[in-house]
Amino acid sequence: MNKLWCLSILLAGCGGRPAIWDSSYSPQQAVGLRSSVAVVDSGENRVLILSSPAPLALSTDAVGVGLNVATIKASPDGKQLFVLSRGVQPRRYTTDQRPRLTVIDTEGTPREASRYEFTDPLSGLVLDPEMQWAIAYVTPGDSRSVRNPNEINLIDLQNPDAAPIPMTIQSGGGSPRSFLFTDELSVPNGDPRRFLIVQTEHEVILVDLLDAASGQPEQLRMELPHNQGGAVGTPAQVVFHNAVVDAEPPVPSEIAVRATADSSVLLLALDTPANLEHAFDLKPNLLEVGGVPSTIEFVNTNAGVRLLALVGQKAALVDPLTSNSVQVNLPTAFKAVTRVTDDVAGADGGDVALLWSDQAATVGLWNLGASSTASHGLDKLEVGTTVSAVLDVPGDSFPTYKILQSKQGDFFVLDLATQQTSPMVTNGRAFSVSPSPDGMRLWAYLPGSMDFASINLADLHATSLTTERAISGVFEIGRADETLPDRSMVVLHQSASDLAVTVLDGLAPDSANTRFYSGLIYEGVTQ
Amino acid sequence: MSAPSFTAPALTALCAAALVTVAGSARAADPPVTDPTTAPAAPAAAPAAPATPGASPDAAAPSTGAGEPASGAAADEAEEADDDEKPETGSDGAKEEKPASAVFAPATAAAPPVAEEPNPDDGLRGTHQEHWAATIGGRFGYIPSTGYDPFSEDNGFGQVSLGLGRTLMAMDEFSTAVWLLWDWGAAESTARGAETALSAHRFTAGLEGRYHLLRRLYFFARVAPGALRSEATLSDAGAGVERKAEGWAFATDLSGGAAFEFAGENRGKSRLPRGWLSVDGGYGFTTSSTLEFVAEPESGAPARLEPIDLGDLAMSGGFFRIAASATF
Repeated sequence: MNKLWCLSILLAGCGGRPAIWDSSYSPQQAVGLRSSVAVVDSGENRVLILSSPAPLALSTDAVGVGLNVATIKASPDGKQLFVLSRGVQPRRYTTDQRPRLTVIDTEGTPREASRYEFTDPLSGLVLDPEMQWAIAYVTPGDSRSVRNPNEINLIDLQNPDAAPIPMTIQSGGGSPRSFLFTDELSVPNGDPRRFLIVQTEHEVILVDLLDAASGQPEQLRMELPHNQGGAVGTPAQVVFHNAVVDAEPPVPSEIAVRATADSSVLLLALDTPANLEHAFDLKPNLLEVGGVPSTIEFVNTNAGVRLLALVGQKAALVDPLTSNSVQVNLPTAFKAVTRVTDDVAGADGGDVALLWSDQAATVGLWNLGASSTASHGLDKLEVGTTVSAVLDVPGDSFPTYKILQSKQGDFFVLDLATQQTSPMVTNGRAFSVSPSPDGMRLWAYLPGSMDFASINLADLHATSLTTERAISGVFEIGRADETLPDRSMVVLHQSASDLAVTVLDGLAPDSANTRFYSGLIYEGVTQ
Repeated sequence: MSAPSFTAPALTALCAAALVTVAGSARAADPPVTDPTTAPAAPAAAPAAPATPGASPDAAAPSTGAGEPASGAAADEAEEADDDEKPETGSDGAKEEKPASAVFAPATAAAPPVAEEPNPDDGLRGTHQEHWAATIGGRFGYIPSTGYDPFSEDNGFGQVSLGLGRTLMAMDEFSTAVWLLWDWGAAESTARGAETALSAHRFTAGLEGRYHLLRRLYFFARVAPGALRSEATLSDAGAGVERKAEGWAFATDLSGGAAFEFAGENRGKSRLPRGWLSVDGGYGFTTSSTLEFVAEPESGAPARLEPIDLGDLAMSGGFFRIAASATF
């Protein structure tokens, strides 16, 4: 009998279940895509792609990614998902997975489109807005016994079969703090090209991307000058503009660097090279703007290209060719500028700039084509609250609308055409606001609450909505078939051990017309 | 070949299963006095009555069976009775009943009194083969279905087995029986951190063919079609409710095994209960049922809560069972 019992125990113990049943789930990063929402399922090293193939319907797909996801990002067009993972660290066996970047096509049936492997873990990821390049770089959070903080991997997204290009930023002692891809800039003696501008503690490094795909790209390092206090400046902002060849005299492509605690702005002109074997020479110039600027921007005025610097209650308009500066008094100490030229009518002859500040309850709309020497053309609008951010409204339906967010939680819809603002009062609660991808409405929600709202931009009617579980994210998505006008609203509920969503009709949201889906973490585990 | 001896219609009898179970228990406590062959013998220790001159042997001893001759020495008879494995059939297959254990001395005036043999073996299969049976045991299954994974960390599934059966007919060493069987088991686990539970009821009606190698040992093969009721729960943290998935599936067990009688009288005609141990193994087949978890109404679930589909559950797989049975 004892043998029988042993046999029974042996039989009962035979076989196991897939490890996924024993893995846990915890709230993870989520990003919105054009027709889906991607949520990391780190317990299973995969990404759950939530889409809505029909009104109120939800479809879940799971796509495997690398081990130990560090970060995910959506491509600017919302059709691809980039997942950077650290792999197995430390690697002890050849079979241990390496760090990798997984690119997933999310349109239609989600699938892995390409994969790039690295030798060491990386956590930083920057995507080129034009989807030509990506950068994977090491961050202080990446534990390595020895790490090169200046090492980056340049990834050619136009050539998925190409291996990442490892390169070391030629820094004089600092390490990369931020990256900026420029538009295509003309140069005096060569083809137009794009640059990667790397900001370190005290320098900017220009990486020429023209021939980057063929090998080590050329780097140009420029150390920031000492400020008025005698300290070496730290880059705070980089702006650029393309050459204006039809101006008289022609204006070369220029890059301006604002440094912290410095009343001078470093101007770098891509000037005619002394050696004609070079495409350009980087010609530095210091522009005095009359004080420490809170922001800078290149603008077109009726007198040509100028560097606009906001300094307290003044704006400095600096001619980059002559370094001459014109100080314009402003009605308010604006701190930020958003160029809205393309969004307003009658902007011939210059840019239109929206000036705003998180310490002033007014915004300014400045038509720089009207004057470059006085505040003519500057309209002051009272909005009743300070502005901490300005959001664009996508699409062509409401091009003159801007969304002004305040620190107090309220937000405003500003119509640049009528210069009227419509407040959306939130009782002081810090609602998160985002425009819909089609630009027809706004979505506002309070993270952790069950309240959210839809604001129809056509009539600014706010529809209050509620869910039955706490909200961790709100995403409006379209159908995989782009010709279908239907849209769905996916409200994410991430709890300690599950992922659930409420799906609404994106075009006519109604709390009484929803479907609730939970148990999404089980997708794919029974197949 | 002798004609098969049919018992009372078994299916009708099985319908009265509960009553029989009670009756069987009661009968086990009753003294078996209805059959002459099982008439209580005088205790071995009791002194035999002195022979009376001129009295006939029949008058001095109880009957041992119609027309059966009295046997020889009591000691020899007792030895034969203990031998449970001697052939029990004649050349023509008919039962060749052995002389019952004699407890009487030859009818001679000078013969001393002989002690009566208690429970004399009649050499028959009798109720070794033809009986009602109630069984309880443990069933150990191997369920490889992926639908079972949320409920167990391995593929084992333990069940309690209860059954009630009746021999339908017997022919020599062969017999057939029918069973009503109920197997119940439960499993608990977690699925990605959510508590899960599964219980399964397998109701089957079995037809069993037996071969008695010995009176106390037989082998059998059984086919048992029926139905399986599964009830699963899933603690849904996302919706904050407990969900259930219930379903019916067609089930059939195919198994074979052996049973050994470890307790009971040798006499085939004994109506006293017998104790058996059995082991069988085989394959339990069930169709799939969908694990579509829904929330109970009024459970506080979000409105228009969509079900969670964890695929199909098929409780099919190999199994073996160890059971103890009582026959009567």
